[in-house]
Amino acid sequence: MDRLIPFTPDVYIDMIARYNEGVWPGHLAGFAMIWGIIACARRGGRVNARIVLTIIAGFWIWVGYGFHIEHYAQLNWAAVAFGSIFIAQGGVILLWAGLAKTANVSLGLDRFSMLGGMLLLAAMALHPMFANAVGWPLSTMQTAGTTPLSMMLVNFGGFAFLRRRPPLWAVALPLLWGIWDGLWAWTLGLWPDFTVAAIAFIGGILCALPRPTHA
Amino acid sequence: MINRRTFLSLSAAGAAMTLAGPVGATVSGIRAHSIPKSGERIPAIGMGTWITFNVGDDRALRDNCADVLKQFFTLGGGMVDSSPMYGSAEEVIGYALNKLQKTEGLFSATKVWTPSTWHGESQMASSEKLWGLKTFDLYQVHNLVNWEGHLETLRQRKAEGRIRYIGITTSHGMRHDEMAKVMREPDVDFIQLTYNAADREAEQHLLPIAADHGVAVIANRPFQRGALIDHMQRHPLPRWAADFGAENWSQVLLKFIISHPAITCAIPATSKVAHMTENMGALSGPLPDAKQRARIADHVASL
Repeated sequence: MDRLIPFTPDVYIDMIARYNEGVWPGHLAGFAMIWGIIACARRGGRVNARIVLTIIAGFWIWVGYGFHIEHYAQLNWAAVAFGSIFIAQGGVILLWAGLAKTANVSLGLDRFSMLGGMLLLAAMALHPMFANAVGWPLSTMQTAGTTPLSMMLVNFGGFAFLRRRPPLWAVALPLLWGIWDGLWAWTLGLWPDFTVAAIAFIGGILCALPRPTHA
Repeated sequence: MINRRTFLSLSAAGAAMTLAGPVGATVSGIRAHSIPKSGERIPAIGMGTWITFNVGDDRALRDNCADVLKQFFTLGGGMVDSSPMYGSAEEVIGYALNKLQKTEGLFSATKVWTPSTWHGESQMASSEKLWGLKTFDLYQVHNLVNWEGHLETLRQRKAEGRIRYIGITTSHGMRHDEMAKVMREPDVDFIQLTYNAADREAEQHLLPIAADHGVAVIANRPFQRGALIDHMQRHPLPRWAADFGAENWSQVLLKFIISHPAITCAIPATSKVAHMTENMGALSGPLPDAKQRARIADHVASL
């Protein structure tokens, strides 16, 4: 595992801080998009499902290019490949948004709605909360779907609002990324990152479960 | 910790090295080993840059790397080893060399690391730009990736005088059988492999082949990415370490490596000036003999 991590935890955290400084106030747009997902799910229907999927696709493409290729590639040779895969996943979700005729979303008091709400809330607040607990500065916090970790939560949160389980291809990559993110965060001793990755992974498994027929 | 006397003697030796001119001059006080195919002598402790010099574009961290490199040169260091695989490390080396305004004494070593021969050439051009150098002392094929294709390019560059030596590398004990085959190629001047007091696999086959074929050997991962030295430092330094002039665990571990007759240079990496000072202390004083080497290996294994 150590051959795949060519930097120290401090350098990675420093990179996140500089990335956050670089993309600010893009975080505000990220928060707006997350609330947009919630608003669309509340309205329900197929058009809003397409909007939700388009927003999720936008997060994938942004993180693929803006985070991986533009910033992370400076530290990790594999980041360009990661970024390309993220952009491809975003493209496929975008196609799904355009072509899916049966996709539908809803937000009620059912457990999938609760799951979606909690995951989106986590995307905004969980990493900052844990990072603050271990004394990291505000600038190092991952929030608003602007980093891979935070984006996983947005992705699974949006998927949880779907009234049918998302297809396997749509959840496979983010689940694998959750495992990867968790493994290297563990290796580097980045506990906030590891904890959020673990929660995102569990959330991903839950959001991929079949919906009850009455939902 | 290094004491004042050792620091002063190292500094004096380093200054003498600088005054003596290009790397290869024989200077008393600094242990230099010969490159078998040329007879050129280089300091037996070099500097790796894996992880430690991959600091991105943070100015403070880059300046710290420049300080580490400055200390390396001050204490008589020569070989600086990097790779395009190491993120921003090559760019940071270029930054540090430019800041220090010093390439005298530098033995520049980098690698080509891509499956494509064509891309290898553009990668080499990129490395020249990042380091700020027009020629490299040593160019290596990283982890044997497309070694047939890259060796051809490197032969051509050597003929053009753009590089002086050709090498191939492996690490973590990977692909030793293939390495044994490639290092018999007449153009291979250097090999790089993992060798330390806790990982001695190379002693079985590769080091004897290197000695037989006159191939210089660079030992990477001397501290196993810090894990080995972190472990050793939990235990007191044995009194017998003083018998071969080792004042700390890093010097015990490095002297173990460079005392193997087939090893030309060990390349520890660090981001701390104090650790660089400790490492470079291994360049002075006696080396352990065969009996002392066995004692070090046994002691490390027992801990």
